Amino acid sequence: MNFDDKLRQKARHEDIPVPEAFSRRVEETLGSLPARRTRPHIWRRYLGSISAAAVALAFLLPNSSAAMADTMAGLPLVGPLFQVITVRTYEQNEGKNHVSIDTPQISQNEQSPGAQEINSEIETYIDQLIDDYEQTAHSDGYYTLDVTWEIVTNTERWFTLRIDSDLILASGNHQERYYHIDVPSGERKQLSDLFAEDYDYITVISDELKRQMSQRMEDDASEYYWLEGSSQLGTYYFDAIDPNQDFYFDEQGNLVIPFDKYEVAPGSVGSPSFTLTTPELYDHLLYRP
Amino acid sequence: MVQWEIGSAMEGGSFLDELKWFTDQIKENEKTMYHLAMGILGNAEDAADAAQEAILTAYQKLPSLRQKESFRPWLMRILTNECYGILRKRKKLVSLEEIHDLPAVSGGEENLQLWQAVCTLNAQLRAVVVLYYYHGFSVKEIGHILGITEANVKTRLSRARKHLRILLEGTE
Repeated sequence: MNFDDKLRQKARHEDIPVPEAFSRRVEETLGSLPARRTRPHIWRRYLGSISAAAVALAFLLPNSSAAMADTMAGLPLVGPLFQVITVRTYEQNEGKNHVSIDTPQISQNEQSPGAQEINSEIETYIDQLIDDYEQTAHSDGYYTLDVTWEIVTNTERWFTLRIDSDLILASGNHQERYYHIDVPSGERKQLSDLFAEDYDYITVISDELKRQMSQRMEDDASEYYWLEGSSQLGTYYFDAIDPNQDFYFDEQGNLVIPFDKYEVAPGSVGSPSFTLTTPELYDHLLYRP
Repeated sequence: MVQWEIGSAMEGGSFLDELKWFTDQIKENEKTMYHLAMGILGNAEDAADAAQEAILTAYQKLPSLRQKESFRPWLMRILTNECYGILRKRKKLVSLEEIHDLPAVSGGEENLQLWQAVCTLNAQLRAVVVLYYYHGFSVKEIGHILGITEANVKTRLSRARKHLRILLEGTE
């Protein structure tokens, strides 16, 4: 018997049982299927109207946002220099589909290159969310997308805007994006800007994150992270952060690193975040909130 | 080749029959779905997420399936796409593509189960082994499911065999 046949035989005789939780999820999903399905061409027409709205949004924004910032009363004033307004709320309800997208724009008394850069990036991000929606939405519902924003930090020294995207298809998926401005200079800042060039913040932060992940696994057997040597995935594990990993400052001024669902752990852990406590890190910090 | 007249089912209103057929097919393929999703994702809960999305997508796209005989590979392709979507979200994780970089597992152990050995392969190799050895898909079907050429499937199978031989028999 050659090795190929041996593998076939082994595979045939090996029983890899399907866990009950998996079968239950399949059963529940099948139970939720409607007996009547909307025809695809109706769906395509519907998507066409969304695309048109998205295009209109992209073209209208540059002309309308500044005027709106000057004239709209009752805008949420978020600081002496920067304010954020929702320049457009897009809502769509079709059957069980629900899409609601607040598009924020940062405005300020004096032009800030950081704010302009972030506004442009936000537009691209929102367009991408709409594209994803067009690609994957289900015609019978199941698709819920809520995009909202929140000011995380707003002081004389630091400004942070967070955009939350909650997508629910069959399972939920929460994503956060953070945008930061150094208020005195008006410049956009990312994680790599917080430290001097010769300081290896990537290693310091990554080591701290791995230490905290190990600690959480020790404290709670149900919390699991993909670390080298203990990863369920074998060939995949968290090794180091991106140079411009998302971050924010909490109310105490601590650096917090948030991760999206599935990024460093199974979906059951959700979107974990870690407050960095390494004193050395704060000695090297060039900006504070 | 029998054509599946799903279009006429929609026109004629026999949606319940179609739903029942779809439900039976999913149940029949549940084990394959689990093994494939586990093979790619390596985690049972994420595999369940992917399977759930795949079932919803497959049901929505059912009218585009022209031959009911193709349902099984068609479903596995949809599932693979859902799994890859989850993998993309793990973009910050290290991916070890080379066999010599894989975690060390002592070779030649008689009791080492094939599945244990398969779990040490990278996601690309795991997927072809699961489909080929565990569920009897042809090289052509695997190419369709994973969206790669038949030559690429053969290359991956060869690499997987080489690694599995080291693990299971201790020789190349």
